[in-house]
Parts: sequence; C-alpha cells; structure tokens
Amino acid sequence: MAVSAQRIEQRNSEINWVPISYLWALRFIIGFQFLTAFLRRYVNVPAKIDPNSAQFVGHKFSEFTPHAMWPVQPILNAIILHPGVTYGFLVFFSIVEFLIGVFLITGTLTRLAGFGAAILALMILFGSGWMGTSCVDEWQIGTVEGIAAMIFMFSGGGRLSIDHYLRKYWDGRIKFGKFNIPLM
Amino acid sequence: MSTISVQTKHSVENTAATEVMQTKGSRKAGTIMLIIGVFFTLLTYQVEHNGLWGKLVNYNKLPLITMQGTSIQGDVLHLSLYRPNGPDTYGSFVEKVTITDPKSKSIIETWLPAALSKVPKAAIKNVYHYQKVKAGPWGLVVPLAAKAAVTLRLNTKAQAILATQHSAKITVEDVSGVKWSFESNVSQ
Repeated sequence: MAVSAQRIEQRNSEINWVPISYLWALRFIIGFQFLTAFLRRYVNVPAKIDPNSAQFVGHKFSEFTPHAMWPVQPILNAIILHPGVTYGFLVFFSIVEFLIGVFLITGTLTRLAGFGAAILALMILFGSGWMGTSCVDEWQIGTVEGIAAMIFMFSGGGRLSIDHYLRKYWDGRIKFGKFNIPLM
Repeated sequence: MSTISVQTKHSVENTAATEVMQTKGSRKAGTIMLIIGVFFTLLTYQVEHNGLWGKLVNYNKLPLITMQGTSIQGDVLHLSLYRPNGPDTYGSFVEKVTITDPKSKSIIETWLPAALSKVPKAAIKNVYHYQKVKAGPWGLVVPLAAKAAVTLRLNTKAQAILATQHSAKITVEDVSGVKWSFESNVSQ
C-alpha cells in the first residue's frame, strides 16, 4: 500500500490552504464597489436621488426592464409605475449598499455581509445583466461580483477584521430553531 | 494515545485530523459555490445574451423600435412606440413616419422633422414615469425602455384612400436611416 512519492507531492500541492489573508484585497474591493455605489448618489452627484432630475436612478430602473429576467422584471415594472415606491426602494437599496460596503471593508459580520452582497449582485445580474455596450459589462460585473461575494459567506474575515475582535465576546452565531447560522 | 493527541495542541495527529476535517468541509463548500456559480453564469449568459446556443446578441447596442398596438382610426394614426433595445445613454430619434397604401405600394402620408418636433405634449401618452417619449427640436426622442402612444392626424387625401382599406404599412425612420415597419389595422 505504499504511496508513490509523486502521488504524495501531488496531494500536498493540491491540499495547500489558501490563507484568508489572500482574500483581504478582494474583500476591500467588493466592499468598495458597494460603498461607492452609495457615495456616488449621496455625495458625488445628489441629482441621482432627486426624483425630478434627469439623472434620477429611477430612470435606470426603467432602462433595465426590457430584458430583465424573472423575478426582477415584474418587480422593477411594479416599482417604476409608482414614483413613491421608486424613491422608497432607492433609499432602501442605497442604505443596504452602504451597510454592506462598510461591513465588508471593515470585516464586520463578514459572512452576513457576503450573503447580502451576493444577493445584491444577483439582483444586478438578473436586472441589468443584458446591458453593457463593449464587453457585456453588466453581466461580467454581476457574475464576478456575486461569486466573489459568495466566497465571504464561507470564509469569513480572518484576522484583519472587526469580527476578529468581536469573537472575544460573541461566537457570531444565531440560533433559529434547529438552524445555527454563523454571521461572522 | 488519541486523547493525549487531542489535548496536545500542536501534535501531528491532531493537525492531520483537523486537515482531513477541513478538507471535507471545504470541498463541500467549494462544490456548493461551483454549482451555484456555474448555474447562474450559464443561465444568465444564455437568457440575456444567447451565449450558449442561438445567435449571440447584445440588446444594448443598436436601437430597435417596435410598434405593436399601432392602429389607424378614421382620421387619426395612433402610433404605439416602444424601444426595448439600444444604448441607455442616448436616445433614438424618430425623424420620419410614413403610411404606405397596401394596394398601390405608394406613400400616402409623411411626417417629417418639422411636423414631429411640433407634436403637442397632450398627443403623446407615455406609459412609464421615468423614460418618456417626447418631441425634440428635430423629431421624436425615444429613450431606452420608453413606451408611448403618439396621436398624429392624417391629411384628407390619405384618409380618403384608407377609407376603403383594412390595413396599411406604417414605417418609422431613425435619424441613422434605420427603418422599422408595422402592418397596422385600419378602422373607420
């Protein structure tokens, strides 16, 4: 039953662990994408959140509808037909993006933030994945961002994170019936 | 022996056992991520771009105007415009609308920029609140995702010819020269 040296070498090279520190750069970038999505609206160009402006984000929601996928298409359609709902949805969406951005950058409740980012990216993918005039851009963003965010649902934040300090006081899990869900 | 190895933090056996456990756990997580990633990537690539089979499309590149629901009633053309395709950053511009007599194949009515730019607001009924069809200085501006019914009045000659017809071809021309046609019902 001797295992050949070659086999052992192969096994060792494939079992090598990827340190979570390798993911810090990725976590920063994904977080920054969501945080700046918020900042572009609320800091750089406030016209984007002014319902009477031509730059209002509601126009974008409308632009997504022709080829958006189910279930995003009917949801968007319902939203854009009611201006009040459009504004409320935009504010909600922006707050969620802000929180996810800050949480990912700082590594706070990283696994929960990763879940939120993956859901948002999936909505972007299903809503605007058909857009992008040069390299099917939005589709690339949606898939890469979504799958990158999903990694943090499993990996957590590592040592360079608020979670690392929180863990001294709390195990970061919530019990939900028979489910025991890790948030960090 | 095994209890000792559990208690000894850095014992070889313990490391090996943890590694086996982690390998199994991470393989499961990796498999889940792989399945989800492949599923959504392939699904959206096909649905949104026909990337796997059929002809590859990018709906965001060239404007398209559809006219489903367009009809002629008496002396009025109810032109239903919808633009599902094309760039989101710049409008499509309708510079010319014509009606072709199905019998003689000749154009019996034409609206040019001078007329289209003067279409009153009340004659354009937009469906959506944000992306709207409107009259610009050189014709009708039709942004992406805009849907509207535009009412245009026919001249008496065209009206007289269409009085005996049941259908007529409506053609809309973009400023780029691209044309889109629709076979419209005619009713009195």
